[in-house]
Amino acid sequence: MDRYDAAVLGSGPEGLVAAVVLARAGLKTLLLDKAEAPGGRARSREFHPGFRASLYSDELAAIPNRLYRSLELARHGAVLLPSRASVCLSASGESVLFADEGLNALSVPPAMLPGLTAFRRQIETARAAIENRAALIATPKRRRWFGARNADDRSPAWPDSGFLAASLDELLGTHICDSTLRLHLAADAVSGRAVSPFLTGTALHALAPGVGGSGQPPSGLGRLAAALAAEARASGVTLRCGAEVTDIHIRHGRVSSLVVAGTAEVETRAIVSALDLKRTMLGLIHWKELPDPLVKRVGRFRMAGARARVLFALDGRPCFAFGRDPPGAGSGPIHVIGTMEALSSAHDVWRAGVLPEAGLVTLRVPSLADPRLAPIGKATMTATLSAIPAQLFDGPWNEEKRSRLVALALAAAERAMPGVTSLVLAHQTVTGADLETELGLTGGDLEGGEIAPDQVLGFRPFGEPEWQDARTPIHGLYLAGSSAAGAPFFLGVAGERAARAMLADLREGRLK
Amino acid sequence: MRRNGRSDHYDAVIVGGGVGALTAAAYLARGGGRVLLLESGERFCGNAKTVEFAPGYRAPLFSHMVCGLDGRVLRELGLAKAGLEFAQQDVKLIALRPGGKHIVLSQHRGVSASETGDESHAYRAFQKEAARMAGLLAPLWDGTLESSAAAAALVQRLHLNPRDAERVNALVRLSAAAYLDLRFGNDALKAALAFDVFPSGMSPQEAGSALALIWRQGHGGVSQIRGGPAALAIALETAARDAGAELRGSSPVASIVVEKRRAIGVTLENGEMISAKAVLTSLNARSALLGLVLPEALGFGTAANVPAPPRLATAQLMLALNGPPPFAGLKQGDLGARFLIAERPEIAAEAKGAALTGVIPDEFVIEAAVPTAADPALAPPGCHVLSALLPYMPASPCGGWETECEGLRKRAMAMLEWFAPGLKDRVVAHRLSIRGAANSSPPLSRLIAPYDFRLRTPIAGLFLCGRGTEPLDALCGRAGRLAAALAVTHSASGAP
Repeated sequence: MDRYDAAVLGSGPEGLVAAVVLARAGLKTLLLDKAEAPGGRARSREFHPGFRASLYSDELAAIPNRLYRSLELARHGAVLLPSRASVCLSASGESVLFADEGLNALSVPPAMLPGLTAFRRQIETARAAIENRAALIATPKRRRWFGARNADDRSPAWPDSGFLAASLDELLGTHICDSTLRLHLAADAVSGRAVSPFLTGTALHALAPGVGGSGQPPSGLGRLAAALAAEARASGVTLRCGAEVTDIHIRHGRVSSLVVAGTAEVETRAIVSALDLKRTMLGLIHWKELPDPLVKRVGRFRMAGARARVLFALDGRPCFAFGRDPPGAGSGPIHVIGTMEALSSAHDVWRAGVLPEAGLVTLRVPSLADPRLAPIGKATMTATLSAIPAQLFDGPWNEEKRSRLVALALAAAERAMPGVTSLVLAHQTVTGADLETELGLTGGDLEGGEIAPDQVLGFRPFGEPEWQDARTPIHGLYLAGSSAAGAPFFLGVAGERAARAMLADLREGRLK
Repeated sequence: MRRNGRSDHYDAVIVGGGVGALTAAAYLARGGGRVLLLESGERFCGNAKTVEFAPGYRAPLFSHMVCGLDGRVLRELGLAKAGLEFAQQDVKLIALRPGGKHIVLSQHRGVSASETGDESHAYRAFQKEAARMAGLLAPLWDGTLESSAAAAALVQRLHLNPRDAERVNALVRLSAAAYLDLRFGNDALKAALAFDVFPSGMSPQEAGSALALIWRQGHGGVSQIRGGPAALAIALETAARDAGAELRGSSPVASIVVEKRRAIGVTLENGEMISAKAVLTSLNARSALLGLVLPEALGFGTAANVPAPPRLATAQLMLALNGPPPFAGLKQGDLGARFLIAERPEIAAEAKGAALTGVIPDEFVIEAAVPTAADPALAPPGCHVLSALLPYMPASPCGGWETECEGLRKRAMAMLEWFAPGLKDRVVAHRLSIRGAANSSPPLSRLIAPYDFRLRTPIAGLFLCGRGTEPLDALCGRAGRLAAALAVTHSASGAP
């Protein structure tokens, strides 16, 4: 039987970060993933001969600078750049927003500029507060309802009540009067999810990984995954791919070993799971080992995916329909959206398990930023569709339903790039059901759980003390994946926190 | 400008009638102030009306039952002496289910149903917890806590111990559905309990709606006023007059006079100017600020921040019946209850989703009551009135209410008929009314903001006291009492 000091399940970005932190602390660390190559959701793949794209997502949450430096990602070739501009085509007009505030003065009506700046500042302040560790903890000592504890407390631990009690529409409405701009910011906030912007608590989505703002590797997420994996190997992590963990054995409420399909048991006292909450607690641990209330509690955690993707191989560079050809637009996201009401009804239809007729489609042409993603003279285009149920009410996904996704994506693409349909050489669809089977995400939910006030930050997955700091009620099991605190807002934070919590427990002898 | 010493100078002028305005008038007059209430109509009832919708048939407009009426207002203004009576208290909630297997919920007698299993214990525990949480949050909801300039966190200012702070923190984030999920097993029971969040404008699946549930449960039982809400308005009017307030009907106000961002009086439509140290109004923030204050006095920045008109509305269907409504499977004496028709727990969320996009939902929730069961004077002998509230309706549907009314009435009738076979044949007359939500500000922030936050306006000396300032859309009277206190403080703090 193999023995390791620590095992990490799942080699997505969070798992890789956790493994690096553990290995650097001198632990004999094993990283397991059922896929053939590390990277998880950040993997890029060839989907048509010569055409490559990130299969599951084009954007990840921003990785904090501190982590970026300490993981030496730059040395391994992962250079992060924010997309320079995002474009929104809505029923009320088109708008272009730049990551650079100075450029916005060119594209946004002057009267709108102060509101936009104020909105972005509010988001930045709140995100800074989240990055500040305190917001990720739900103990009453640290956590505050809202507002600063006293006048000289300059870093409120919890984003102010606006994000908790308001809807996305109201939050945007307080800063921005122009409906086109409001739709653009809403589309940036909810791309790939199903959100009714009129419901209480949806303002939180404005804090979630902004499509426009955060730094992304221009050559696709695969580059980031490769850099993280290189750093993990360099730190001495044993990386074992194609190894699916089927069971975690518990003895007296403590982790004792884990079972890898087809091989012997691996003995370990400490496990960081970078899988989602439900898969970890209900999929890997026999339910008899868990107390009944815990099983119920985990079962009630709301997870439901709303993302589908269509990848297109194009026989040439598409021409954009925007009036001005904004510098950098096209390599960034292009949102095609109707109205706020359409977002709301797409959400309602999604809840019922029905394919929406129209909704938000986010297009990208990643080969504009990195020509290596397509053969010379050709292009790769991705479409991320929002509010697409992972499970449809009328049975599993089939060719006919997938072709409806393609039609939805192409209809949106025609608005942004007229004539693009004639360029399509091949396409591939990725539905929520595919995310579930290929990546192991419960309900196809890439966010690891609905983004709602009771399921984010210190309350993710739960607010109870035994769940704080990435811990679980099982000794030696730590949660690092997308269901852990901080996960949908920042990349790598959950992995680092889980690894640090484990190291602290080892140091204090709690895992003996 | 005419000021001190003139006969038309008042300590406070109140614009509009209604429960909030009359309560404020009574409190201010009791405090010795010179108070004038101006109402555009002839009667001082505002929204608290009992309407005669068919000859001999009267029905309460919207508030067929009341919940959370402020006990202090009733006591301090001596409303019982002024003629306020309750037709019944602790009104039961009966969730109607096909086949007559109804779930009966009562504040005092707990839960009883044929197939809910043993949930009585859980219900008692829930009631106890709700009362406790409501007690903890009472400073917030009953107005002793003021939002001061200090940025101290509310949880700390409520002086909660860490465990309670933890609970409150979790509560403001939970949806009613999730909250009930943790406590009950039976789906039908959960749906019945969750329904009570509807006056907040939130659906039970929405984050923070657990707090609305606690508000309803924590404020005691539901009761029915004899004579409907109009009786409450009449009692308050009597109390206000007795206290010395001057009530003037048929005096529409043209504008609120603002000088240096302070309200200093009002002008009537007949040109008369009345100056006052404070102005209170039972209108909502939007119509008060945009309709009565001159734009230049308000300032562009403030005008842009006035809440948008509400997207949601509630409809009410009144039916005049020539006999008791034939609800299936009811026990003797259960006719006075509130009846809930919600076939699936998700209906509220779906209906709200449709309403937000301006569509009248296909399926909706109904809260029906038979006010005549406990208050027979509302209808001719042997006859009855049925009032059905249909929450989560669009404020302005795509087709306009004129064209959509008939379809909605037919669908509501069909749903009622399903549970009361033969109802159709007893209907003598009917009427459908629509009322927009009182407030379009974020529903959760209404529940977690201190009272004065909602009562104050950007204009000093102008206070709101209408139903839009209550945490939930309900007849409470709290806003009037607290607005009066704010106005007194404002006048004392050196009006020029």
